[in-house]
Amino acid sequence: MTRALTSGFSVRRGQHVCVPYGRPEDAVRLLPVHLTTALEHGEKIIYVCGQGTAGDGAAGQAGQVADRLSELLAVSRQEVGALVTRGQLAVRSDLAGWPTACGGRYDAEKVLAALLSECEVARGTGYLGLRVCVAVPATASRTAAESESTASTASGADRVDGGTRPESLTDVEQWISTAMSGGELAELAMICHYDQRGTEPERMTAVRRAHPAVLDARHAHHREPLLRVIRLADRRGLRLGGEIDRTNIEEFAAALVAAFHPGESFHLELDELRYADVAAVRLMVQTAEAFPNGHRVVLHSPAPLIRATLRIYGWDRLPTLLIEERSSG
Amino acid sequence: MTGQRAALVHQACIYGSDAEFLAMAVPFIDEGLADDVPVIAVTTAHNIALLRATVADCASVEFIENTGWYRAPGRTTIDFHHRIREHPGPGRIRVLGEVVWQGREPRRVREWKDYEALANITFAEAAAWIVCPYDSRVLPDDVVADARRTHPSCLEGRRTRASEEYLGPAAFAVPRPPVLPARRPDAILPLTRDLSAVRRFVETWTTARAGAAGADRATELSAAVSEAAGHLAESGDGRVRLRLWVDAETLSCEVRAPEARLPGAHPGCLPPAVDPVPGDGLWLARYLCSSVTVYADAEGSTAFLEMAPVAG
Repeated sequence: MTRALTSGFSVRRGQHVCVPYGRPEDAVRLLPVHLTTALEHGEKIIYVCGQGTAGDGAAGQAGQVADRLSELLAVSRQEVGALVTRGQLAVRSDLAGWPTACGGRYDAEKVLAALLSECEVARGTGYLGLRVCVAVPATASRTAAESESTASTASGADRVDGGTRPESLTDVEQWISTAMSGGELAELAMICHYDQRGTEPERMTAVRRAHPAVLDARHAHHREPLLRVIRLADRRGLRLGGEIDRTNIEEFAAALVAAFHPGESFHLELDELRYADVAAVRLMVQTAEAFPNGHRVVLHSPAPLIRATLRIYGWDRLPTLLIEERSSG
Repeated sequence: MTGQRAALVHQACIYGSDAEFLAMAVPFIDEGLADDVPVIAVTTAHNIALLRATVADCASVEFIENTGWYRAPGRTTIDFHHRIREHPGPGRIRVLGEVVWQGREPRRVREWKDYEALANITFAEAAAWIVCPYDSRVLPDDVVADARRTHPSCLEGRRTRASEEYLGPAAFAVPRPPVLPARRPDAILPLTRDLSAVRRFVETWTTARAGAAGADRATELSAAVSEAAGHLAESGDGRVRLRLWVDAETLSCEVRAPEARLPGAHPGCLPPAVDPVPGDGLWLARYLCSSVTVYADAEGSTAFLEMAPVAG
């Protein structure tokens, strides 16, 4: 079964993700997303730019990708260059000839061996994993799709014994998926961008099927919402999940104001709130301060850090603020 | 010192013998007990033994050995703040506070000197009389000399003498550029506005590298860094860049905000209120970290946060 993902930021190691796109700008917009995600998770990232022709120097391609990234991230070229120097960011034209080999025939074993070797290099240089972002050009998918029809007529019989037989593009993807689902390449997050312009829908379907997960390129540059707010059904208050910081505190403040009523105690169920900065904890406290005695703000199951913040700021002594260990709701 | 509200008295007592120490400490404690105010004595094991043998009502004094108390300046400041705040008045809570100086690296010694200077800011409104004993028999000359610069007055026996050398916290605790680890950072994060990326970056690396005890410290360091980054971002164009050094013992993180102009020299040093003050999120960072340095130069501002094993 193919799993549908919604954000490029949520691709994790062990996942092999297909990103079909119809507009080049959708794919380009994802390049910094993959980089940020790799940096957040301590991974090395390799962009396989899939444009390997003999005329292009690898250094020239690396330069182009770095330029693109610095432009998209709005940071200086040096800033991206520092990641290249550290060996955390690399650009390749292909991996053992994939996905750009002439004629659309590949050696899946060599591709896998290249991935394993890149994972070892990443780990050996201190990174916690490897993120590979492959751009499969439309020409490659077309060539692959054409060769696929011949491959499928040849049937699976010689696939069993023919280890060194040239493979089609989707065969390689399938090999990678099989290897990853078998626990090999556990440190790898593999993201394959497919230009679907000019590719027949059924061929695109085969490409998708070769990946366990698919990401919608149009919206994948957004993070999943940092904060989830749900009104409690059985009493006045909110269930919060995720994180609150200065970037989304207005959203939290608005939810508080909308749900609050001075005539009733107010419950905040916090067991799924991973992080609240000092300003967010302060908002909870200010809400409690607004109460006359008799009603309270009740914080259910705050994370240790939220509890520590209340204590360190001396806000846990407020008589109208109550901390409950377990949510009773 | 008149009227309803008592304000801070912060004094140094430079003593050269057990007798000189007792000549100050015994009346200081006895008078406090007679006035029915809490008395806390944080000092060396040796001095605690002396006081126990000399003070008549020593059961009413809270004795704390200084090696366990003076672990990290921010933590100690905030622990003192909580103790002092528990005293509702009237009168001043009395504190003997003998900082641990020996066995510390020069840069840590400097941080504790700044701690003494900044106490004049942090506790300015506190109903507290804090006397900081300095043992001139064992302390380096610079530590004793700076005690006169960081305390508005000295106490000798029962006699208070204004310190002519007193500089005031702004002049003494001048922000200095942080001393970064000499080695290459273990991880870098290019300029970003994304604080959730900042937190995940710090948490991932510290969890992965800081061993079994890493998980709690990872959460704490990422929260401390997030507060520092948020403050710097607010004072600049919203972007920060990070460099992180992680080993089994020490976690350190530099947050750099190009073009950030900080509104104050020592953010997070004033006791926070429910109403916000810029930078008061750093009160949390100062509590959680063993050291927090904030420094502004012509190109921008830097916060450097460390979680080091604290000298016991």
